[in-house]
Amino acid sequence: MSRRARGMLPVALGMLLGALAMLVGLAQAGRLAPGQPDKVVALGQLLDAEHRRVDLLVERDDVAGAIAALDALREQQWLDRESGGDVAVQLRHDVYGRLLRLRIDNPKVAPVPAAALLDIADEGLGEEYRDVDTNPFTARLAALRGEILEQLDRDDDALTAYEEALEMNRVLLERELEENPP
Amino acid sequence: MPAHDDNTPRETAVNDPKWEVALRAGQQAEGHAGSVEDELAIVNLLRHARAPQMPSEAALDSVWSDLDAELDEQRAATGWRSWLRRPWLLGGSAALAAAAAAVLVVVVSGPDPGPGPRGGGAMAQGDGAQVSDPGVMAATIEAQFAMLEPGARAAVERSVEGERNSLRGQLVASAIAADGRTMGGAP
Repeated sequence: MSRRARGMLPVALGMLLGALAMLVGLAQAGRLAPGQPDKVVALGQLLDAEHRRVDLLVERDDVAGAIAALDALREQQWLDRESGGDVAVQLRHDVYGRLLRLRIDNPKVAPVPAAALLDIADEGLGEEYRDVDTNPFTARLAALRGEILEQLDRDDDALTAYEEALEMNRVLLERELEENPP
Repeated sequence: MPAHDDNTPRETAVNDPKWEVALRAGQQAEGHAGSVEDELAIVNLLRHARAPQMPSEAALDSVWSDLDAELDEQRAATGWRSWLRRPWLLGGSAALAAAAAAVLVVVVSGPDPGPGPRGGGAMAQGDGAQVSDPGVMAATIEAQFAMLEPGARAAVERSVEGERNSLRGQLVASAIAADGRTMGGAP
């Protein structure tokens, strides 16, 4: 091995280690694996059954029943991102998004003030929603929060929420185009 | 007579400045014909050999300066610093820095919100919705969700199914480890 090649070896090793550390960090930043997979499975099974029940209730025009079923889910113990990973947070955002959609579209059914709806939206989003891998459920819930803010005449905040949701959807579109080029 | 007695007159003769005087006088007597420089050089060499003379401080400094310059030049030509003097490295570094700055600007500023379709259907309306009223934005996002929902729901189901399969595998492995008889069948 030449003297120059020996001199460049530490630099090359450093670059290799740095690249590996970066890849691992990006992987962890993108999708957090659940720390308690058994609870994620239990949560997934529970919500699958509940979504089917809500589907049936909506088909029967029992909006109040559907809202009550989804509202009841709020009381259950949700997994945080550390325990349930990104998938648990997405499942929560899905339930809260569905609940808020039904409430906003049916304001006369079991009416709730807009301020209370905003609390529900914030409760559903949690503090960690920006860290979760971009997904449609989080984007929708962020947009629904914008709709509630609009009802509260907080138009600037509503626009911020909409733009946040649109940005998430833009990321999803770009991801879709990368995976399935036109 | 001792040996040093034989050398003494020659030492004196060699170092005696009258040698030069005599040579110059002889040259002058011959009408400055010929040259005595070679002879004088030999005389000076013999003088220096007998009694070395140190050069002046200025002359020494000059010699050391020349040596340092030469050593620096050789080191720079063969060491790692020579890489820093490569023109392509300087140009490449500047280009790399400019590219990194451009990437940062693009990432921070985000996609161009100007007109023109990016994708199909409701997804493409997102950019235009930024300048529309909030109601249109909400409707656009809801339409986008309707498009993305099936795929996202399937992805979540796959994720949960993957965790379930992983747990099932762990349970089977635990059962096998707890009861070794299942490994080899009936005894």
